[in-house]
Amino acid sequence: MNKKKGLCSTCIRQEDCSYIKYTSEAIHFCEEFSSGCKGIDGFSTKSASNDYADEEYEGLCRNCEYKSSCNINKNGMPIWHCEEYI
Amino acid sequence: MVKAEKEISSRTKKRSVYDSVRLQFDKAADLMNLDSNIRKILSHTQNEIVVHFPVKMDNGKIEMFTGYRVQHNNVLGPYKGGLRFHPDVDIDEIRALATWMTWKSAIVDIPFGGAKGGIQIDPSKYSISELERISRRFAFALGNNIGPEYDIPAPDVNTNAQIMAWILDTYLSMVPANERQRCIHVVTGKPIESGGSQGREKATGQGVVYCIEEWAKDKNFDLSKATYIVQGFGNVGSWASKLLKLKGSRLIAVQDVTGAIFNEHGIDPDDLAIFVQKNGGVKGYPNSKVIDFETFISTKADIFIPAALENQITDETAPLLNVKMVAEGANGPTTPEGDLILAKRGIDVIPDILCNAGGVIVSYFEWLQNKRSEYWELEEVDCKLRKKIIPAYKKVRETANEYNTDWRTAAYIVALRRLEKVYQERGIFP
Repeated sequence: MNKKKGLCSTCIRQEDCSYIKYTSEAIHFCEEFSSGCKGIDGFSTKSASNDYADEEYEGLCRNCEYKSSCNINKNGMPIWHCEEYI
Repeated sequence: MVKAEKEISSRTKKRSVYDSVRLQFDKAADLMNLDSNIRKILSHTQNEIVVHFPVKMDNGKIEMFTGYRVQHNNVLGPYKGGLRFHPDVDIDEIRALATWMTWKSAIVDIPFGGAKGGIQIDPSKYSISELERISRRFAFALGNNIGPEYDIPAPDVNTNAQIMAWILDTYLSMVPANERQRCIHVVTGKPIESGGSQGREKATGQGVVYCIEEWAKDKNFDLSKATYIVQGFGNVGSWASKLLKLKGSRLIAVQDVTGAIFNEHGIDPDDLAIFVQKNGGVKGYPNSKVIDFETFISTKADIFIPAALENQITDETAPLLNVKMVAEGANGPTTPEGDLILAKRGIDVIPDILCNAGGVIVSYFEWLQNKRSEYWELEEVDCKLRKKIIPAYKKVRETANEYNTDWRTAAYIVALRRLEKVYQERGIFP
């Protein structure tokens, strides 16, 4: 493992990182840094109302992350309750 | 060639992002002939707070932690900057990042100064309840060194909306009961329900796209026919890609931590975002060809959005770029050598300090909403963000023409001029 200083030193993605071999200096900003700490990585400020909405869809589907790959809502009706909604 | 440029070419290539920022400050200060007294003031931080505090661990033992808060400058408004939790955090790093925040706020003309803080800690080694106690005890140790009208922390590396909510709650517990509702704006980046702002999630990517739109208008360039490549598909890269798609532009190559992919007919950013969410990276994305880094960076496109990490456009990679423009979504993606090559090759650069300022602008909106007890709709946040970042873009363009310099130097000059003006007006006490 190419042990580096800076953020990389605790990044769980450093082993397979496609950037690391081109970077000789310690990294202090990285959009893809992950400590693997669930309490931090898993939490987001994201909420339904804050999402970018797609005009093609209605109801919950409008900003659901699965909207383009969804196999449930086949008839295209507006959905207001869905256990799969993210 | 000005003094700082000579320094760029004579120094060794090994340089941290902070050295680059300092070089950039010197270059801008030389060119604009910044008042030497004000240069002296801005070269120093105002306050540096180091706290050592005990926290009880889950096993009942006590562990000591070291936390920092560096306040660089508050002449334009309250100190503002993130808190990072990382074992490599030290006072030098925090000092440099605090200084950078001063320039960043000044460029986009928001009434904030610059600060940064953090704790030397590897959060992956602690439970959630331990992290909560560490965050709360750090806030307690900082005490009145933070405050809604004085110093406003925000999330950074390894900190998030939840940690901001804990800091908020701890701070509120320390102020008199009848003042608590007036202090919600002590931190930004809060969860929406606890006073966070709509639009914060996509703010940086949205700011990047507003800048690109303005550039396209300047160049009479049709974005609906544009192709773009993106490095990094985290928050900034994915949002910028999704929002550019709405303009009709075509994403043709993406590199992230897992590798790089290419499809000349276009990659759907919305679909890719779902794939990345499920698979942890772009590697394996169907309907695309795997490419190596050199091929990715040489891909012919109109726009390149580096949105991952520092020092990616260097003297080695800048000659390979085959684009008309670089919109810096990441912090410090271009080295000074890379900048010189891009300038010689006539590739436009919208510098990081302007291009990715959408995040700090929406933090300011969050602060403002809390102060006024208001909740703004997403449309209102977007509209106000546009109204803030476009004039900053125009000011940088104007300044670049005035001084016949590159946009990065111009952006620093815009910031330094604002600070210089206020110091000249207010004078130095006594």
